[in-house]
Amino acid sequence: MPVNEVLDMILEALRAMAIGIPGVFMVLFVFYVTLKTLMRSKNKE
Amino acid sequence: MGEVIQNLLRGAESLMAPGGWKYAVMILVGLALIALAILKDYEPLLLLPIGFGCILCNLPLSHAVQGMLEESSDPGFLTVLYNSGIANELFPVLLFIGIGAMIDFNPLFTQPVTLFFGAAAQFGIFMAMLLAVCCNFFLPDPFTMKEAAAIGIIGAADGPSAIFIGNLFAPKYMGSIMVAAYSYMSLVPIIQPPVVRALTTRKERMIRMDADYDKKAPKYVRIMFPIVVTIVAGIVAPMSTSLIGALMFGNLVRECGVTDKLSQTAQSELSNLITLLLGITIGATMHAQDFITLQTAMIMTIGLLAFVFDTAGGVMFAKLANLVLPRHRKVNPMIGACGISAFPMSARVIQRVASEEDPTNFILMPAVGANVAGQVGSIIAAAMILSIFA
Repeated sequence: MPVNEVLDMILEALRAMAIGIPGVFMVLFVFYVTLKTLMRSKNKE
Repeated sequence: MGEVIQNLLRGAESLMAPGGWKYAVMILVGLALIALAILKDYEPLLLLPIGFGCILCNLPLSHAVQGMLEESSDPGFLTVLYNSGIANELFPVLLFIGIGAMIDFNPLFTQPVTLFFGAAAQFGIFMAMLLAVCCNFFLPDPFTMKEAAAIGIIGAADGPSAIFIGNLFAPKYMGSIMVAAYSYMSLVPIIQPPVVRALTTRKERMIRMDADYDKKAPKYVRIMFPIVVTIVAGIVAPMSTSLIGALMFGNLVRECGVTDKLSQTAQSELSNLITLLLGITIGATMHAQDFITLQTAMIMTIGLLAFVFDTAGGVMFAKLANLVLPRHRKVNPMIGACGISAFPMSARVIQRVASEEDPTNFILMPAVGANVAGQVGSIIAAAMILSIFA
């Protein structure tokens, strides 16, 4: 495979990494907030 | 009579034909997987059916896989199973119902912060994808971007997710990806401890994480959590809906308290049946012509590195978290390694390492919390991969 094409693919993989890792953190942060809210609402009761 | 004998010998002739040695090698691979399962107890529930499926599909002129590689009006039973369970993603989704019914999220409810380790330990997925792409510098038959992503998903340490993505993005490499994923999952006790020890000091490994893990979260929380997570995941990561939905449905059946029979069925009969069919069908994708390649060797190597990067990612994130956490809430960085989805093996391994340093230090419960978070995190990571490359 030509070097240029491989470099393009590496850039695409890095882009996926730059979106994917923060993306997973973001979704799990939403779950964290959800869980905290559920626990807190029950404690208030 | 001569014709009958000739027909009977056709299989043996195929083995002797040029390239026939590959089938013999694959039969040996199948036998090796069966031996690992029976003699070494490595993931026997999966490696045994995979090994047998491998033998079945590599027997010369095997009718069991007829129609899998070429069109046929009379498909073999493994082809039927493949088309009805793997090609349409049914088996992994059903398996997630069983896994959901087995998971107790209570350790996660006690320390919700462990959720983030389930995200950090997905680092290996993306590093493995990058490594797969880098292999294209020298591979004669390079990986496509989607195939690289499917190889990366080995780092999820999660069989059903690997099947889901592998089937969509790299059906050609399904056999190699599955064997790598399940083999390394069974090798977690060997892979993780050296990485964890290399990245932590003895003092860090002795950090205690005391909390009241005996206290069960309120029933209301245990019921609402799977429902709310499914809805939230469906909104923020729609590609994950079927996987996370199946996992959370299984968990709801377990926690609601009125469907004990369904919960028992999901945990035992359903899981066992799907595991049985899944294993033998995955084994049937290990055709000699696709498996004995340089690509397979690369996939196996990258898979191992994916687990190493997962472990390192989780541990380093925990160390970073300790920089900002107050003294009394510091976490034992080893539990970061449990953010992989290999449940509950990873948590047990980390507890063992902690016990070696201090026999009175019990970090099993927070480790299990990180481990179940890894289960959720791996599905979300798979959804990210899907939404980026689909």
